[in-house]
Amino acid sequence: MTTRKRRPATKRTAIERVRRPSLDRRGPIRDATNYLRDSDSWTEKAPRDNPRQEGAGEHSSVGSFDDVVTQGVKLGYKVIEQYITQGQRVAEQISRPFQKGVPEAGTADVVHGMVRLYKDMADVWGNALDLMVRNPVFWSWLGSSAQNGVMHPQNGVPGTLNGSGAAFSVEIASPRPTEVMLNVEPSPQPYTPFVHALHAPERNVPPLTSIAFQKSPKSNMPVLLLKIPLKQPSGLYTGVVVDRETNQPRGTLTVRVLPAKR
Amino acid sequence: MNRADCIKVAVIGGGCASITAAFELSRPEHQGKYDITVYQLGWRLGGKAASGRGPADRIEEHGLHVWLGFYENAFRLLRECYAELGRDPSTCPIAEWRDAFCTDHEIGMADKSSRGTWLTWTAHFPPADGLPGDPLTTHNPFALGSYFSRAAVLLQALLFDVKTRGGARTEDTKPSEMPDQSTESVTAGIERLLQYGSVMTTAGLLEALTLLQVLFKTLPKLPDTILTPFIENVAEAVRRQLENIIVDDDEARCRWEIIDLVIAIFVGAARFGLLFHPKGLDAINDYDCREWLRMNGASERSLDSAFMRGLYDLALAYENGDRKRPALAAGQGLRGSLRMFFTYRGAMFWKMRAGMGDVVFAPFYEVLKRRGVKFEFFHRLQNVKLSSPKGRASEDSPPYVEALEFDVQAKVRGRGEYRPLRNVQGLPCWPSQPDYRQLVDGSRMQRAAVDFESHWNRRRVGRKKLRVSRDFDFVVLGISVAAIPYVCKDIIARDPKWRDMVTHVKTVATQAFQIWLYDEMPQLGWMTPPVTLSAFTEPFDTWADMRQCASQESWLEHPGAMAYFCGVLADPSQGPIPTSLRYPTQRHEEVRRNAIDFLNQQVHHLWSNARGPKGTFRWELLMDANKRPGRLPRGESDERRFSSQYWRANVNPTDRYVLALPGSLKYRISPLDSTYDNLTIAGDWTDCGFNEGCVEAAVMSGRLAAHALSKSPPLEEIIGYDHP
Repeated sequence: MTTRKRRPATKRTAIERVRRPSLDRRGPIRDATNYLRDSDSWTEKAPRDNPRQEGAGEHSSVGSFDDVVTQGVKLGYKVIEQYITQGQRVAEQISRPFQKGVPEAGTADVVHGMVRLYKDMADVWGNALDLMVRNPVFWSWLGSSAQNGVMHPQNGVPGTLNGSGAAFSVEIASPRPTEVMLNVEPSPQPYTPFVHALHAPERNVPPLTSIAFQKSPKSNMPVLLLKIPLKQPSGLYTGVVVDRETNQPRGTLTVRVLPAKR
Repeated sequence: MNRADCIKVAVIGGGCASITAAFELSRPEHQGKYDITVYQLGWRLGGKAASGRGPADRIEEHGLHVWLGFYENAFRLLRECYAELGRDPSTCPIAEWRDAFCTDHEIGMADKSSRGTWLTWTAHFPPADGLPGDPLTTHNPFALGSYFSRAAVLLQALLFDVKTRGGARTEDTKPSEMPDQSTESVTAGIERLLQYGSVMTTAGLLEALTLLQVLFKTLPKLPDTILTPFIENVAEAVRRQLENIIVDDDEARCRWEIIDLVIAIFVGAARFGLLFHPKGLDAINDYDCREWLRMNGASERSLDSAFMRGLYDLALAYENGDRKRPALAAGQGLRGSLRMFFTYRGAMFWKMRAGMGDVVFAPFYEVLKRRGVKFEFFHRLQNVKLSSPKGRASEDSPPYVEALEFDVQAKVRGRGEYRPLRNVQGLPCWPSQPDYRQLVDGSRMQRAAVDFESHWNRRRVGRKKLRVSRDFDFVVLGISVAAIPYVCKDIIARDPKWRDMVTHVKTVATQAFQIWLYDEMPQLGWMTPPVTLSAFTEPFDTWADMRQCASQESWLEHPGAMAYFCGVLADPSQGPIPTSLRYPTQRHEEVRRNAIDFLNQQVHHLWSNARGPKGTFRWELLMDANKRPGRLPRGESDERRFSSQYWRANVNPTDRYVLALPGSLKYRISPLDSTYDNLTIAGDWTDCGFNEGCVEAAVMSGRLAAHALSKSPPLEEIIGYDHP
């Protein structure tokens, strides 16, 4: 509080002067924790005045971390699927003009658009990964998950996915010859792999959906189980390997279904 | 409280910030703790917003003053002031604060059409819930969700309510329904929009904009990493469509340009991480507004649009008054635009029904007087003297203001108190000239036409020196930043922060004129409702139809129309402000010439019927307050008639308008700065949370200054101080 020490006026010294009170702060608070709140009352205290709950994430009003990840990645996958659909359309349009001799109007735009969209998606996933690994809640969640049976990082031990590479068994149930290419990025942290549907470039070709990673009960090694339906058209099928729990991208899976040998 | 125990506060200057500080410190809650004296140059309060009453009691302003609907602090205090004043509506025409303003929902812009002619258009901004200054109890308007839910309203208004003069309203299309705001729905919306071509139709575009609104509102539930690419994709698709459409259709062009700019803002906010940046919008204050929007994809056409020029015009954002040097800090420009468009209440514009001095400063003066605040008019600050190191408790002790030195410009007869107001039709008003009858040697001063407000007129009848502890304890320095170098030499000499401030925080001179006309606006050719219009041609780019003030003046014949024009006034090309006594006279004459040329050559683009057969302005339209009613015969009218009107060159340092130049805002000093332990600063030039010259910034600054001295009001009650 502002104070004044009174003495006879004629003997005042500098010490007696009234001084401004000390202030709690000297500038506005402009960060997101202040203005992202969507309060019901102007007079309510800003989040900065409320002690944060430990592990509540960057913005407590945002919802749980899982919600963010789930919704975000879900959205991301819908986007990916959309791109794949667009890619199929592009492929159709590209193939058609060559057959007819005259390119269809707008095809070039679509191609350029696809290039841009794929570049965007690379950024999306890169940023999503960055967002994820920078979040302490993720690590604490991961730690608890690991204790519940998810594969642990154990360098050099078969059956783990870790920074030094991965060892897999592959079990394929296919009526025709099939090649499998699994490209998984090294990761210092444990995760459970998962693959969404594998798509062919052609729009009208049904995706491969019977894909799963499991742990072998005997060896505890990860096993990629792949089942190719009897009527599955020959061709190249691709998809993204992700962390099952977080949907973080971890690599790609490519399956080439060859024509039946005669 | 015993007078001797009070803390004596010297408030220097009587502008918005100073008066606000005095109002806060004199609140009854303080129980008389502060003994306040306001020291004011000349005979009236108001600073840059001072007004006076001239012949026929006509209102004479420093320039055009319009309050915006987001001036929450300013309106709140003014409403409290009127409530405390308790005027009798049966005797006073402006008894309540609502009597003092009328709402204006029309915003106008002037633009060159594709055919090279001037095109004017207006947009109607619908009334928003509540009134400015209402308690904010229902919703925090400064959350991004609020901004962008209002953004949809704005865009829909622009899409469907824009009309050009003489043109029909745009297609009677209804905006798309607000979609379900669940994340699932938003996700589905994004999915649809990513299908190529879906935003290429008007319906698709509307859907995209509506979805963007929902997206921003639910932003915290979606990672920024998803949002940014999506916005960029949508923006690019939108822009491709826009560029194909704006070839010939002026109306569509205006609409699309604004949409293009809004899209650029969305993209830029995402790209620059503004949504989560600890500095908020200040993170981009080193960029110029146009430069930043260009970086985020705005088209050159949009950047040169009327809308964009209008934003610069409203902020008088031209360095040194040079129209070729527009400059506005991007973050503050964006903050101002967001506040202006998305947080207004009641109406976007609030026009005063009388002069700003009458509507604002006279009520504050009366209330402050009742509270015991003292006013010392005719006091020109000459020097703020700092303590010497020897005089401090130790050399490490913070410096403080030891003395305030004034020139006394005039003395009041009988050593009495100067009574500054006079009654005009029941309304206390400030006159355009001092009441010389109250002054010692007043008759001689009147004959000499002493200009007490002129920086160049240094006439004085005495000196006064106030000493710390004896005469004051605290100082609120509320003069314009352009005047600081003349009165704070001690501080500037020792303090690099202050040197940086006066070097980088620049101001601009302005020019303004007012005319009173016999004909009403429709007769002049302006058919739309009263408007505030910007982006018109230099040197007077902004015009306001002020017909609502006519009833407060005392003309024998009621004016048909009243119009205020303003713009920047270029500084001399070299060197500091000249010291010659002739300088202000020369600039005054320059403005007169500018106004005459403007009326002769430009105003017909707004008022087609104001041009006579010779192609020049019809001077007989002007009303002369000093003569009997009646028009001059056509043959006898010429531009000399303009001398009966009112014009100003605001070249005094105290009159200059502060700029928000890119890269300059970080040099502003906050009223909360405590380098000098008995001094705080106040004004729209300080680092006050809204760093752009306006009434709201000044009021915020004044509240901060009061907080610096008393810790009241709490910072959380300074509305919008904690703002992205």
